[in-house]
Amino acid sequence: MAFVEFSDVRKTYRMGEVEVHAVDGMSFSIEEGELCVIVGPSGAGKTTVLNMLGGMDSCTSGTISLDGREVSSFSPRELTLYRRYDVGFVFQFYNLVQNLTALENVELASQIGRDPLDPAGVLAEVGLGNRLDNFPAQLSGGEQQRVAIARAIAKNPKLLLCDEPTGALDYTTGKQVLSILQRTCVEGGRTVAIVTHNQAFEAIANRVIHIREGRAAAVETNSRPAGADTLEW
Amino acid sequence: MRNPFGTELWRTIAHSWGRFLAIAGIVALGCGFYAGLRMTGADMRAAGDAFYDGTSLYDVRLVSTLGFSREQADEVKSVDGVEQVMGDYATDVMATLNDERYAIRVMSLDVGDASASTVDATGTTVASDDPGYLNRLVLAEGSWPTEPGQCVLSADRVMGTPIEVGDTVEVLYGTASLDGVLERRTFTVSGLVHSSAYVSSVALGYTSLGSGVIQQYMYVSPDSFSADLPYTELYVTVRGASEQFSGADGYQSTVDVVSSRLDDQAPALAASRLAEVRRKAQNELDSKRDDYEEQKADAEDQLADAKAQLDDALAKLESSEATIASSEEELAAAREEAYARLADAKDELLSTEEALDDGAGQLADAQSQLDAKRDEAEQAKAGLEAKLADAQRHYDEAKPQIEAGIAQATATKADLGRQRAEAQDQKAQLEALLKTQTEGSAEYQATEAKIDAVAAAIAKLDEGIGAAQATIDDLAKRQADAEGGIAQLEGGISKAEAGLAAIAQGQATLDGKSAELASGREQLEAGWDTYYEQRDEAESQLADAADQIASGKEELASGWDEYDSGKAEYDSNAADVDARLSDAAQQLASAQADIDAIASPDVYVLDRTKSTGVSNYHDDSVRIDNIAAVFPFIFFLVAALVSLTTMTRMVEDERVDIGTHKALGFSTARITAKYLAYAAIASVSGAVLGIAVLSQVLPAVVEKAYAIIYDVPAQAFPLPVDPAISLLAAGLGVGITLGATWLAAAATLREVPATLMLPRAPKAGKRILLERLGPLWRRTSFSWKVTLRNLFRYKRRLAMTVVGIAGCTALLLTGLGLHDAIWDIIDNQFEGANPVFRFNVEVGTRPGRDGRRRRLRRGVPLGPWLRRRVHLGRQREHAGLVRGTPRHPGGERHGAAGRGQLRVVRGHARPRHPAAHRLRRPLRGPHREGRDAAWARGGGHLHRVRPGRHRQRQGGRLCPHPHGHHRELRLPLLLRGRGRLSGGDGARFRAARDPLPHRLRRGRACPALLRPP
Ligand SMILES: Nc1ncnc2c1ncn2[C@@H]1O[C@H](COP(=O)(O)OP(=O)(O)OP(=O)(O)O)[C@@H](O)[C@H]1O
Ligand SMILES: [Mg+2]
Repeated sequence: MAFVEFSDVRKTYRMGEVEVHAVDGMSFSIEEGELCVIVGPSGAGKTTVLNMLGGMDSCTSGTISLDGREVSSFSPRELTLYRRYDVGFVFQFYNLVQNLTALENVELASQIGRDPLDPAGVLAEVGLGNRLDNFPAQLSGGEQQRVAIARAIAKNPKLLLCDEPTGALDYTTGKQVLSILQRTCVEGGRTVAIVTHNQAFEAIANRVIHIREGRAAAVETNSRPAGADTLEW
Repeated sequence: MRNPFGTELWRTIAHSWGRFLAIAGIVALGCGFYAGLRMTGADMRAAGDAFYDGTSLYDVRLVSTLGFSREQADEVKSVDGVEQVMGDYATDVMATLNDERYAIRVMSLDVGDASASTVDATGTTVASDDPGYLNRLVLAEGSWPTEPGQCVLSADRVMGTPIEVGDTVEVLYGTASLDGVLERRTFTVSGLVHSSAYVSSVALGYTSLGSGVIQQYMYVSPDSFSADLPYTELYVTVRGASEQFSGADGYQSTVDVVSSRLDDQAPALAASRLAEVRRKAQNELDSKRDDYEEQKADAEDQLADAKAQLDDALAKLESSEATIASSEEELAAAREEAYARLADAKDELLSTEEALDDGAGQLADAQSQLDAKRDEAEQAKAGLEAKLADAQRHYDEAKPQIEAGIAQATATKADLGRQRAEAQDQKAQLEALLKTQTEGSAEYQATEAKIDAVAAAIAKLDEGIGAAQATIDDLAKRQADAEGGIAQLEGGISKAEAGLAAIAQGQATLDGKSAELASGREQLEAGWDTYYEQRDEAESQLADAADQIASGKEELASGWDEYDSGKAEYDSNAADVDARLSDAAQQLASAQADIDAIASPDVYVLDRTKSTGVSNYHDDSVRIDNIAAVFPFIFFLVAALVSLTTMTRMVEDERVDIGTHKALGFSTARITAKYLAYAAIASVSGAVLGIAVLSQVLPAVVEKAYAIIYDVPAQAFPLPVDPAISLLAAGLGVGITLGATWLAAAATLREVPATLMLPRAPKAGKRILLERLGPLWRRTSFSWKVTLRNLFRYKRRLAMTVVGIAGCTALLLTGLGLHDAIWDIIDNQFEGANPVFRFNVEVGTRPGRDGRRRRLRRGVPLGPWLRRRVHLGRQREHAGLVRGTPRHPGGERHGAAGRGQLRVVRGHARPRHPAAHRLRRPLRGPHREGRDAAWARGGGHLHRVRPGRHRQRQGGRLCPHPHGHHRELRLPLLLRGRGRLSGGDGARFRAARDPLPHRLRRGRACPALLRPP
């Protein structure tokens, strides 16, 4: 049994009369320790898949399991604990708490983690050792994204989920962020899932899942992924 | 380890002060008002208690309708539980102060105790060495009375004219006679005081004087009251009561124990008092009854004397009356005899006179017949002579003519005879000729014609001869006639002369008879003279006798008069004495009845709840409690609304943060805790601050407001804070806020993190009804469209706005409405279209010295009288008048106590319609003249007549007085009715527009007054 298992998962949004099948019979699996890139066109259902995987949304039908536990049947309370201990989430728009400094934002996550990493250390790892006491508003977009990654890593989760981590970043910064994520996966041994519509990222992934219209259209595996530094787009 | 969660909470507060303060502020208001108002009543009661205890206010007051003796006061003091007893003299009077009349309660004051007492800084506590000095007064102004005739008055009553030290109080009358109650009637104000027994300056108590309420109280030294006056009332303090809280249950039960003991004692007190009063009165009455018996004996003796004298006089009068009657009879007999004699003589004379008159009558008849015959004869003779003369003259005149006529006619006859003869000749010639001529020839015929002509002429001539002969005959006859007439006349004359001679003979006979008659008459005259002489003599004799009788009668009459007046005097004296005696007897009897009827006095045991001041103050403090039970909940409601909106907005603002926290694995409870903590911090700090401030400020403000009415000194700050009420208030405030917060956060926190990351899906914008009105909708601007759609889209916000504004409006309107409602009551009562009270002044009468009431009559001017006594607009009372009728506010009844005729004035100066005016004092304006000038109030037009001088209008218009000079304007002319006045002369006028005529009410009608200006 794979680390992450999606089998025939569906997510249907009802808006009055109209039903939108954001995810429509999605099935795939990801092995532990893999860096998985999920690509697909806009509106294909990438974010929805990630949200369901991260316990931030429920699926309409089908099963989602992580490490042998069936996430799709968790109660709200179990979901909270699942989010707290098992998943780290990097949002497309960082979602830092504006009232807290970079360090405090990371601490916010680490204080509830089961075996958290040292927040300052994690921040130093992502290259922000000298910006600990800056508020998010005082940081650039890339820096904020790195704080967000640090916050996700600091909880020391099994699974790191990133939704368009470079979407708002320029080329160089995006590469920096990607290499941090790759490092987390390779050096930290964590399973990382990155959602993107940038197909160039496929090169660094162990597994690439192509999504189209709510389905996993194709899954490629890559036993020798390239380093993030070498990436060009 | 640091707690970023807590850090974030503080930072959130720091970044949203406005939000925080809004919640804290509204909670402060709600909790503060609730706690403050709840504490106000208690604080007021505490202030009252401090004042009552500090001034040793009585706990129980004993009042007896017959008063209490000194011994009874001691008896009361020995009742178990009674601490102190203070006897007090009191009476209600009407008195004049600053020209105005007031019903005043006069009470005695131990001047020594009062002067020796000291007051603390707050004016709450009065210290005195005499524990028996109760109801201690606080001197506000001036000094304590130092000499008899001085008094202190209330400093708290608001008077028409402020009282000043040195003012004089003139006592007029009391509920009963003041003799034997007050030693003096004039008092000088030496100072003004506060009294805890009269804490309410508007409700001092009730009396039977004036308008029924006491308007002032006055303390005088006890020696201003009569020496033998019993105590009117006893003030009692109860042991252990002052340690209790006045008005509280503990206090009341402590006092009740002693009150009921005193109640038990009351019948005994009443009985002993009754016996004492009766004994005193009986002694007095007995001595009076002795007096009465003595005087009665005296009077009866005197009356008996007078009666004897009168009887004597009566006997004398009756005997002289009999004498006069007999002489009157004699006189009548003598008179009859004299009159009979005289009547005989007179009859004889009269018959003689009649005979003479008869003879004279016959003589006169004969004379007149003779005279008539003579006249006739002479007339006939004169006529004949005149005719004879006439006939002679005619004859003489006609004789030549007749003779000439006869001659002429004879000549004519002869002429005509000649002519006839000629014509006879001619005829004969012609007849002859005719025989010559052939018959039938022309000549023949001509001759024939000629013969005919001649024959005709002959006939004619025959005629003429005849006529001449007739003329001659006629004339001759005339002459003969005339001669015959003359002869006849001459015969008549001689016959008349013979008649006249016979008449002259008759005359001589008559003359002889006339001389006989004249001598008879002379004899008669002599007879009459004798008769008259005799009659006069008799008359004078009779008159003399009658005079004598009359004078006798006169004497008798005056004797009777004297007797009658003496008798009347006696009768009236007797009646008087009788009346006086029976009156006195009756008085004695009624006095005895009064004494017997002296009822056992009513002894009242009254505690502080029966004191208008103390109980009103307590009731008002309870009233505040009632307000506190309702009013602050509006603030709590507002607090809930404010918290709900504020926290809803806050949760909405932090939606993504909430999502982030959830995504990071924070539990819903933990995140909710943040908002609850926020609300709790805000509301707790608000509650603490609000309670701390308002529990001090509100009671102080309310007590200050009530200080207008109540003379209870304010407490010193800080006022006590009641922990239970504070906790309840804070609990309510914080609880409501937390509840609202939880309501606001719950919905959002239930959402999954994925949707929290997205902005809240706005509610589907529905099409609103207005959009269907195409043309209107198209013309609406974009911002209006958004506004209108949002109105219906966010129903909760709409509801909250509507409820909030409705609440505020309701609060405002309630305030204004209350104000209006209260004033409308006054309007409906006294003004407006159909008021309950239609009069400003009511005039009544009160009994005069003789005990009778003057009758009020309609139609007699009362204006000047009213003006003397009543200041319209600032009405003062004239007490003791008509009772049981409603009063005008502030104004009291007015009485007609003086002399002269009075009239009921109802509706005097009463505005009957909106344009009516009311006279208002005082004199104002730049040109004021004279004391009578007055300004009119109201909505109509005023005519400015002359400087400072307006006339009052009632229904009509204000009219200038034509004569101008204000000294003449003593009585304004009041017109009643409606509409305008128009034209008219004298007292007549008519009302234009309105069918209701005007009525002149007083003063003289003056033509110019009614002329349109
Ligand atoms: N809350 C929602 N309500 C209704 N429909 C939704 C909701 N969220 C997503 N969808 C729909 O589901 C489909 C998949 O959306 P999703 O966000 O997963 O796309 P995506 O692959 O992440 O696209 P992109 O690359 O643009 O981010 C879309 O058609 C979207 O319109
Ligand atoms: Mg997406």
